[in-house]
Amino acid sequence: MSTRKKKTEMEKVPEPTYKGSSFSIDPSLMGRFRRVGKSPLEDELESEDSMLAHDLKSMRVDEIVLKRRARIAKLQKEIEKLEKDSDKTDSMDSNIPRISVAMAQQIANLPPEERNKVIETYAAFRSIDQSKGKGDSLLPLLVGYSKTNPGSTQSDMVTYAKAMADQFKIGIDVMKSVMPTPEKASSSTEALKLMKDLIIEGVRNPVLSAIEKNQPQPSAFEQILMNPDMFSRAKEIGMFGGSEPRTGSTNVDLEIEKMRGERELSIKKLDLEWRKSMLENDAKDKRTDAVLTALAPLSAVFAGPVNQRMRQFGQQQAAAYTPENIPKSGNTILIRCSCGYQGPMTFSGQPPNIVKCPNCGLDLVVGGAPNGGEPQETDRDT
Amino acid sequence: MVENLKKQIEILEVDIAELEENIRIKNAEKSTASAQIQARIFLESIFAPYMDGLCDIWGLSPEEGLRVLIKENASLDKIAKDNPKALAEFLSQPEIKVIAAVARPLGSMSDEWIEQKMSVLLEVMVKIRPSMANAIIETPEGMAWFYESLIGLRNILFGVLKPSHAD
Repeated sequence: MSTRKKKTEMEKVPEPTYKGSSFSIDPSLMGRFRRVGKSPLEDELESEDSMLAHDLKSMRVDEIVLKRRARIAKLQKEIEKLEKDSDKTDSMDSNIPRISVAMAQQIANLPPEERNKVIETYAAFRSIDQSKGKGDSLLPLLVGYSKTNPGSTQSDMVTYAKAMADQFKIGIDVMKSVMPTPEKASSSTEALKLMKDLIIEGVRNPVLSAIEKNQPQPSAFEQILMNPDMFSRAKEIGMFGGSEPRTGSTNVDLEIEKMRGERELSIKKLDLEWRKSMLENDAKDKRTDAVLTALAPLSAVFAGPVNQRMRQFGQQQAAAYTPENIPKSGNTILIRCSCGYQGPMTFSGQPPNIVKCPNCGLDLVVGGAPNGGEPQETDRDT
Repeated sequence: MVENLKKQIEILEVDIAELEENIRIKNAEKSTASAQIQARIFLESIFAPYMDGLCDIWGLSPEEGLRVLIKENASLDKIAKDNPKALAEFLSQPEIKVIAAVARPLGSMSDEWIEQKMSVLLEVMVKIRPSMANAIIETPEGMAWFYESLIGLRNILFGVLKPSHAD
C-alpha cells in the first residue's frame, strides 16, 4: 500500500530583497527561487564539476565491463575443464553398453525367449570381442534377426553375429585403405564422403548380404517369376496359359498343348491326303481325257469304216441271237446299195417309195431297178 | 505374335482352298465338255451303228430293239459271247485293231469310272438320239442294262477277261 503524506502547510516564502542588480522571481511561478546572473567563477567551477562527474561515470562503466569479461573467461575455463573431465569419464566407462531408449523398447517388445537369446548372444559376443563399440552396432542387427527369424537357435544367431562382425571388420579395413591418414579428411566434404563409403561398405552391404544369406532360397517357380526373360519365355510356351484364364497345373497345361499340337498335325495330315487324292483323280481323268481326245481324230479318219464294221458286227450278232419276243409290226425290206451296204430296213406301215441308204445316204427306189442301189422287198408283213 | 501368325495362316489356307475349288470346277467343266465330245464319238461311231445293225436284222427300230434287249436282259457282251466267231472276225478288222490299240488305256478304267461316264453318254444321247435315250431311261432296268453293256463292250474290245456282270 502506498503511503501518502498529508498535505502540510505551505512553506513560508521569504520575501524578495533587493541586492544590487539582482532580483528574485516569484517561486510560485518557477517552483523555487533561482538565482539569475552568476559570477563567471562559479560557472567555471560548476563546469569542472560536471566534467569530473562524467569522467567518473565512464570509468565506473569500464570497470564493470572488465569485471564481467573476466567472469566470462573464468566460466569458459570452468566449462572446458568440465568437458575434459566428462570425456575422461566417458573413456573410462566404455565397457558400459550404450543402448538407446528405442532399442531398449524393441528388445522389451520381443517374446521372452527371443529376448533372452538376443541378450545372451549380445553379451557373449561382447565378452569374446573387446573391440570398442562393435557389440553396440550389432545389437540392432540381432534384434532384426530375431524378428525375421523367430524360432532360430542360439547358435544360428551367434553365427549371424559373427558374420556381421566380420563384415564390420571388412568395412573398417576398407575405411582405413580409403583414408590412410586422418589429416586427409580435414575437409568436411571428404569426411562425409568417407563416412558414406564406410557406412555402405561396412554396414549396408554386410547387412544386405547377411539378410540374403539368411533368407530362404526362392523356388524354381519364384525364380521364373522374378526373372523377366524366363517369365516371358515360360509365357510363350504356354506355361501360364494364354489370354484365356485356365485352371490346372503347369504339367496339365503342357499336356493339353501337346495334344492340341498333335490334333492340329492330324488334321493337317488328313487335309494333305485329301488334296493328294484330288490331284491323283485329276491326273487320272486327264490321262483318260488325253486318250479319248486322241481317239477323236482317229474316229474322224476311221468314221466310215468303223461305222460300217460296227453295223456289220451288229447284224452278225443279230443273226446269231434271236430275241424271244420280237414285236411283229411293220414291214421289213432288204436294202442293197452300190456302196456295198446290204441289210434289212423295217417300217411300221408300208415302206415309202424312196429310202435313204443308212450307210452313204444315197436315195434308193423301193422295188426299183438297181442303178446304183436297189431296195429289195424281203419280209414284208413278217 | 504367334496368334497373329496363326490367323494369317488360316486366312491363307482359306484363300488357297477357294482357289483350288475354283480350279477344280473349271477343270470339271473342261472335262465335261471333253467328255461330251468323246461320248458323241462313241455313240455315233460305235453304239448307234451296232444297234442299227442288230435292229436291221431283227426288223425293229433301234428303240424297239433296245426295249427288247432290256426286257430280256441281253447285254451286248452277252450277245457277243454267244457268237464268238463273229466277235473274233470283228476284232481282227484293221480299223478295229487300230482303235483298240489307241484306246487300250480305257481297258483299265474301273466300273465306277464307266458309271460316271454313263451319265455323260446319256446326256449326249438325249441330244443326238433322243428316242434311244428315252428307251434306256424310261424302260425299267434300262440304266442297269446300259451300264452292263458298256462294261461288256470294254471287256470285248480290250480283251479284259473279267467276269461278266450280266452272267
